Amino acid sequence: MLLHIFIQVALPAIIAATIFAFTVSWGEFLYPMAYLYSSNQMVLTVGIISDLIRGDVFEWGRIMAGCVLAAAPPIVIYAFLMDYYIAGLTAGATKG
Amino acid sequence: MSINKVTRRKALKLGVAASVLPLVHIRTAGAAGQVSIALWDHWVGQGNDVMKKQIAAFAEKNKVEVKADLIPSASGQILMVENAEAQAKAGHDIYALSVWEAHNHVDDLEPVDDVVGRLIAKYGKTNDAVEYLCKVKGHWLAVPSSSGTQTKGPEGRISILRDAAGLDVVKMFPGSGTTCPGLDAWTWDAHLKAAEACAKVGKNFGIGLGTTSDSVDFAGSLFAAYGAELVNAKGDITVRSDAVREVLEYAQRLVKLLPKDAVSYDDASNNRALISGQSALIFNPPSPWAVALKDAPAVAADTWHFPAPAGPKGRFLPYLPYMWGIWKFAKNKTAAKELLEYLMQRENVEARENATIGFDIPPFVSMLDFKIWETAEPPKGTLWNYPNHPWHKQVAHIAAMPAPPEIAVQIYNQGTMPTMFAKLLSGQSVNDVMAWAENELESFKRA
Repeated sequence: MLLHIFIQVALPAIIAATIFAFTVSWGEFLYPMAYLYSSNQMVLTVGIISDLIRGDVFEWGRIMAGCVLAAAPPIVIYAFLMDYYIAGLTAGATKG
Repeated sequence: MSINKVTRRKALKLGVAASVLPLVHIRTAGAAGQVSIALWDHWVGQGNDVMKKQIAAFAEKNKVEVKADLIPSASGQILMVENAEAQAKAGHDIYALSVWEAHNHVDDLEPVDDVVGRLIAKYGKTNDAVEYLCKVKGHWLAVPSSSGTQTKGPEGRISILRDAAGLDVVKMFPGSGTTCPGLDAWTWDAHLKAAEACAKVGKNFGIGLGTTSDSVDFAGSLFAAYGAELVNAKGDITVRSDAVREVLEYAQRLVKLLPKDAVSYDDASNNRALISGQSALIFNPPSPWAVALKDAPAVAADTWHFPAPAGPKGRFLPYLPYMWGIWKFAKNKTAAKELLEYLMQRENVEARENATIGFDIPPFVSMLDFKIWETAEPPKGTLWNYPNHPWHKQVAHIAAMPAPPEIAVQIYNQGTMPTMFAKLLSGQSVNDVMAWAENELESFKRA
């Protein structure tokens, strides 16, 4: 019953919530910046600026490459799960 | 049945034995406890490596377990962690503090008069800017460090300045020795003439009118050279003075010669201007030169560092110190003090200096004779005049000094001085700019 009814019905909402949670975690900046300062622990968002900007020296090529890498997973996830995402957002929003 | 009676004699013996006990302990790694240090993550990675080796040697010798973290300054991470630790009253024992931060944490820092006193006794005095920023109400709240400390004098293209402006900076400021034949002629008026000549050939001086530190430090050097203070040492607003008017009149002529995007300059813009070959001169530490060694070798080989221009009141070199503070909540203050004293020993400072290709400036004048500044190349001697040598007759200066630090930090961080210049560029009159600045400064005093 759980697998065949509840999960099936709730799937768009579960996927939408998962995407939300992933996007927030993936893009997190403030807390990782406060708590992590070792390069090998750093999340991508903070690592790009902390490792590739040194004082007034900007490694633009690598910064741009890092930004592409950082942007890729959310783009891929949204592209493939867009239908579920929209369904999750609109679930219960329309009548009948 | 015997009764163990504690006599006065026995109690005394016990007390003496207990007091001697700490002297008899087994010296193992970490026996003297732990200490943690947050270091500024140097942009020259080799500098970090040498620092970590020195810390490891200290730990081994003193049987202290030292945890060293490198914290980047990009996007203010080092400031953010510092303030988080100060609020939480937990974190590292020692923290690398930038320019104004000792004053920001007066109540959170352990006085280090003993450490700095011994260093001064051994290596001589520091400069006035260090004292202004590290010493509060007669007490040293931070140990001035070399790591990250920099000056921001002119860094110019030898060929462009020679061909366009007739300034042979290599002859004026030789790459070795203790004399500078061109020093007296290098005034702010000469600077203006050179800026005009270079602008004519499309190589504008890369001086910013933004609110980041390079723009602020340049403006601070210019103000000080004319004796112009926005707020004096007593905290009085002194913006309506002949000296300030003189600076603004000078700036009115200079701003027209700067790049069109000068008002949007940040601390990387001037570097790009020099490295790309678009600019004849910037005010900066030698980081653009070091980058150009790899990315634009011809530019690097044509770059020379030299003292700041002089004005009616003297020659003022922008100086930005880093320092190490010990939090009051530190768990091992004794080891923290010993570590800082060890790191500031001449041989350790010089080893780090060599690794960072001369970028760091030691706070003690007696340490300004390291060989690295004479040998760094190309061109050989380009860095010789980067430190503030005594024969440069320069005053190490931070913009807004000598205003009380709680007001000065606002003048600095809000970029009041370069913003005054930017307003001149937008067409406002000197009187309008002075009135605007006066209003700003009054709000700083109220804050």
